[in-house]
Parts: sequence; structure tokens; C-alpha cells
Amino acid sequence: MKVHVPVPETSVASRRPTVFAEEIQRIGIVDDNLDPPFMHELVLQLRAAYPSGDVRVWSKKPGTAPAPESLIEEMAREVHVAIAGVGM
Amino acid sequence: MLIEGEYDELIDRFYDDEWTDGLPVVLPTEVRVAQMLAGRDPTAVLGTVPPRGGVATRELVAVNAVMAGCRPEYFALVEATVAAALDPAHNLNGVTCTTHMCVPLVIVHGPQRVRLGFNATDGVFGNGSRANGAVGRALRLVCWNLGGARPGDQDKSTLSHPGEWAFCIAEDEEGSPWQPFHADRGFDAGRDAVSVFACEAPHSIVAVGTPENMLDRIVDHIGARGSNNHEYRFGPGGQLLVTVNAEQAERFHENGWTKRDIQQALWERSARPVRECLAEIDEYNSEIGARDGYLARGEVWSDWSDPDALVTITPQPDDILVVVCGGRSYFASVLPGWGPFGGYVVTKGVQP
Repeated sequence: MKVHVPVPETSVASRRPTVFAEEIQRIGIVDDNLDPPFMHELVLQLRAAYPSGDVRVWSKKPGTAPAPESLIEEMAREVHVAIAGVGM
Repeated sequence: MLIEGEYDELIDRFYDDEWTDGLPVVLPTEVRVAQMLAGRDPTAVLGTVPPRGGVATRELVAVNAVMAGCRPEYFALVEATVAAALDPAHNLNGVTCTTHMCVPLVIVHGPQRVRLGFNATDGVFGNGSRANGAVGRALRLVCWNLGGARPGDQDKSTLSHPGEWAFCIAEDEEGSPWQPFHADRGFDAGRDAVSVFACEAPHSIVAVGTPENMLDRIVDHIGARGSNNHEYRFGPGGQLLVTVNAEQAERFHENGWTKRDIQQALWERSARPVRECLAEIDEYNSEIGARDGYLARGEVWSDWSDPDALVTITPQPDDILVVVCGGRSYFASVLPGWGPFGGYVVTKGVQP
């Protein structure tokens, strides 16, 4: 009996890191706009952990929807690491 | 892609490779999938299914519809259902990833309900109907296999609810004295359509007596503390669903109540003053932060600077969705939504 496989042949492209921990200088955070005090604390802690680095925040609206392509592309150009899914 | 094996071996393979939601499936044989497609272009793309972003080709949707137990004549409805769920207004990405328990509820409208054998009356949210079960499960399997909606992985729901297996009702249009739900949303009443709304499981309400008696009890549930609709009144929007059965709808109608009157009354009576809302919200630090975030961006529909201003449960009365369904009895229900985060109702016409 032949049956169809119910998932795409390539669900998700494999991704490999292009930068390693010791090389991180620019960190971006996708702000979900859901928990400003938590976000503020996260920025402070990252700046303390990477004193010579640059920590920037991009906001997306609404917080629960996927980030727009333009935001993803901009962050990909500008930071080594992006942190998403912050908040509730 | 096709794989080959014996029946028992393939059933195990679907479990081993996590291609099923935990229940057995109808194996998507070449013949069954071809029957489901019925000559339609299998390469047509309905969209990408978040959060994993699997491409929903018509063929893959048909494969998952076969697995769910759909008959070929359900497929046009399944396609419209998937299209509704993928509409950005519904925000399936957030609905799948949230820690809240909301699940997209499929609501079937129009003549197809009768033609395809949907249950709209006794036990409407429960089991016993192939059409309700299979169409509801088809959407869930699309989310499972194309969207990666696995508990604890991409699906972060803390509790979820049994609608995660299949969550599909039809409106009791024959029993309703009012125009059907999809006609309220601009569709011809005689046209087949489907709505998707992300919500909790139904909360039962004994609603008997006069329209005022029934409304009082429904209002209590709408405003219950702890629901997302209540806790996040300060956000940029929210919706919830109220079901009344045909007997209750008739009682409202005989007393001169329209569906719009009911929405307006529930909306007005579930509103609370800003000072009361603030007193409750301020007990929770994380929600203070969220509230302040919304306030800072002006994404609120009430004047929070005035302690006596009323904060409604939804931005507009018609965000309280009213559907007639269920057996003729005492019971109504409220299905709270996800609050201001998404899951909003989307209605699509079914292409014949």
C-alpha cells in the first residue's frame, strides 16, 4: 500500500550559526510589547553581560503576531543575535 | 511524497514519526487523496501555516483531510476553513504559540450544514457527527503537520482543552428566528460559509425565564474574573462567543429582542468603571506592565484617566459574537476569547 506523507518535504530550512558566543557584539531583541518591565530588565542584564556590546530593541505590533519581513531583514543586517519570544 | 508498507506497519509509522495527533488516522492512500482532490490542482498553495511555516499545498491539506476522516464532499469547506485560519486577522501564529488555552473553533454556515450532515443541535460541541469531527480535526491536523503545533514545543498552551482534537459546530439556522451569523457578517444567508474564532471550551449557563433573567446570568459569565476578556480589558481589542439554543432565541424574539439588542445589552451590562478595573489589575505586576504598554501606545478603547469611565468587555457590541446552536433546553454557553492578543473571528465563503 502506498500512502502520502502528511508533512512538507522540507518543513524548515536548517540553520547554522554564523557567529560564535565570543564574537557577539550586537544583540537585538524583538519586543513583543507585552511586558515592558521585563523587557527593561532584560536589556539591563544583557548590557551588563556584554559591556562592550550594543543591545538594541525592535518593537513589533501586535506582539503576538509574526514579526514583519522588513523587521526580520533589518535585524539580520544589523545584529549578530536576535532574541524573540520575550514576554508572557 | 509517498511511502509504502503494510497497513499495520504504516499505522505505526504515522505514530512513530508524529504525523498524527495521538488518535488513529485514515491512511492517506493515493486513491483517497485523489478522491479528495477531485481533479483540483494539487500544487495550488493556500498559504504557510505558522508557527513552523509549512507550505499548505492543496495536496497536503487533502492528505490531512483524509487522515481526519473527511469525505471528499467536505473538501471545499476544509479549504475555506484553512484559508480562514490563515487570514492574518485571526493570528494563527499567536493562537498556536500562546500559553492561553484558546483553540480555533470552526463554525459552519449555510446549506452545506444540512447537505453534509453537520450537527447544530443536541450535543453540538460534542461527539457523534462525522462532519463536525472530521472537518474540525482536519484543521487541527493541518496545524499539527504543517504548523508544528506540538504541545510544549511550538504549542505553548498551559492547559489547552479537548477542542484541540476537533472543535467544530454548525449554527442551528432552522431553529433561529434571526438571520444567520454569516449574514450578519455580510454574506448571503443562502451561501455556504465558515467562520473561525479562537476561544476556550464552552462554559455552561442555566439561562431560563425572561430575557432579563437569561441576560443576567450570561453577563455574570462574560465578566467572570480570570478570563482573558476580563483581565485584559485594557488592551486593543477582544471578542467572545455566546451561544443560545433555539428555544432561548425564540423567547428573546417573542419578547421583541433582536440579536443586536442582546449584544448591546451584554456589552453595556458587563462594563465596569476604571477604578474597579485598576484595583484588580494592580494586584498583578506583569499585567500592570502590559497595561502600561498598551496605554503608552494609545491602544485602548476607554479613557483610563477617568476613574468613573466605563471599560467595556469588548471594544464594540458586535465583538460579542452570538450563535444559535445546541438542543432546545435551558442551557446557553459563553466561550471566552484570547482577549486583545488575536484569534479574532474570520468568515470565508466556501467556493463550490
